[in-house]
Formats: sequence, structure tokens, C-alpha cells
Amino acid sequence: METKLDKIINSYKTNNPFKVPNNYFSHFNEEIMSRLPEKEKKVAPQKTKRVSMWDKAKPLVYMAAMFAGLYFSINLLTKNSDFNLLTNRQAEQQQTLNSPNIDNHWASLHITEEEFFQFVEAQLAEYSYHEFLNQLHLN
Amino acid sequence: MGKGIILLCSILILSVFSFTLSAQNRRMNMEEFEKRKMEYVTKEAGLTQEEADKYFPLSRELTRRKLELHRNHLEKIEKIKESQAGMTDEEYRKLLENDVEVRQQQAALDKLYSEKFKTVLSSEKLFKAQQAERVFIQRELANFREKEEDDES
Repeated sequence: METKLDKIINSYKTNNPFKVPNNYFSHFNEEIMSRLPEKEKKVAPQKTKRVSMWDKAKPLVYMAAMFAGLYFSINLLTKNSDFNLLTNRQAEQQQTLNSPNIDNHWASLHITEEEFFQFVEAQLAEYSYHEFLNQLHLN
Repeated sequence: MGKGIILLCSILILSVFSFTLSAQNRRMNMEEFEKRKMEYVTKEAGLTQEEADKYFPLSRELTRRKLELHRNHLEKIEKIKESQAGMTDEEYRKLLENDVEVRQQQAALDKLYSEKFKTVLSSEKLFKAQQAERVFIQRELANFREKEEDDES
């Protein structure tokens, strides 16, 4: 037996219950566009500045120049200190000749570690040789 | 980035400085060396303060005069070697003569100062003091050579 519900369902099977106004979709695009707010004018992006090879290399070149300058200036200073060493040695010799009994011997002495230990090595070699000779005599 | 560059620069500057301060260029701190030698020798030889006050000035004087002889001798060798044309027979003869002369002068200094040392220390203490000096110098030399090898490696 067909119920009331069945009658309602059957009626909607054939008929589309949804309706739109006439020519609704024909002007649909214009309608929507006209309702949208004004588009914000975007500023055109500036063209990125092309970085040259020199700009990239500049910091490295400046750093290299700085270290080269530092190296040469230190070399120059050490060469000057060698020259000063020579003049100081001449002054020391004069001082030693004039006053052999100076108390503060080392204040005026300018000597490198290498030079001093070479001298000490020569002295020890002499001593070792004498010790060796003494041992020979004792035996 | 900036901090990284500063750190890199600092490391490079320090390495440049350490390179320039190699043993060949480092000034010998004689005061420090003498101070340590005095402490060691005084202890080993059992010197009193009075004995040390008399002994060490003489020892320093002797070392200084021997060092001057040694340096003068080296200067003469350098001057002769600088000759671009190579050493002549005459120059070799001068070198050998100078070598002998330096040894004679150093021996003369040893004899002169041994008389002076006898007046300030007993023979036993003098012997011990001189032995202790040699031991100390040998140790310092060994340390220096070891440090040099470490710097080179």
C-alpha cells in the first residue's frame, strides 16, 4: 500500500525541486565581479640588481690585502730588529770593553734563544771532550 | 657572519705572529734563565747566601766574556762566508787560526776566573757548583731542542 511518504518521494523523483531565476547563470560572472572590492594596485617589483663578480670578490680581496700588508710590515719590523740587534751588539761590546766589572750583565745583552743555546752547546761539547780525556787518563 | 669573520681574522693574525716569533727570532730571557740557574745551583751545591752573592756575579762575568768571544768568532766566519766567489785557502787558514785563538782565549778566561772562584768558595763547593751548572745547562738545552722540534712539527 503506498504511504503518504512514498507519494512525496515519488513526486520528487521526477521533478527537480530546486529552481533558479531566469538567466541567472548567463550574467553570473559579471554579477560576481561587480560585487568584488577594487583590486589593490600592486607596485611592480624592481628588477634585482645584478651582483658583479667584483662585488662578490671585494671583501676577500680586501682581507687578502690586509693580511699581506700585515705580513710585510711584520717582516720589515723583524728585519729592523735584526739591524737594531747588530747596533746594540756593537754598543754592548764597547760597554764590556770599557767596564768589564758591570753588575747588571744581561740588561744590555740582545741575543736570541737559538744563538745562546748554540753557544752553550759548544761549551758543553768542549767540556764533554775534556771529561772524555780525563776518563782516558784515569783508566 | 660578522662574528665568524672577526674570529677568522683573529686566528690568522695570531698564527702570523706565532710564525714570526720562532726560536730563531725569540729573544733569550737571560734574567729568567739566570734566576733559575742560581736557584738550582745554590740548592745542589749547598751554597750560603753570602757564597752565592760572591760566586754568581763571577760566573755571569765569565759566561758573558766567553759569549762575546764566541759571537766575534761567528761574525768573522759569517764575513768570510759572505764572499760570493767562495773561500780561498787564505780564508780557510784565517778561520782555523781564529778558531784556535778563540779556544786559547776561552781557556785563558777559565784559568783567570778559576783563581777568582777559589777565593770565594771552597774547592768542594766550587766543584759541586760547576757540576750543577753544567747539569742545569744540559737540561735547559734539551728542553729547548725539544721545544724547537715541537714548533717545527
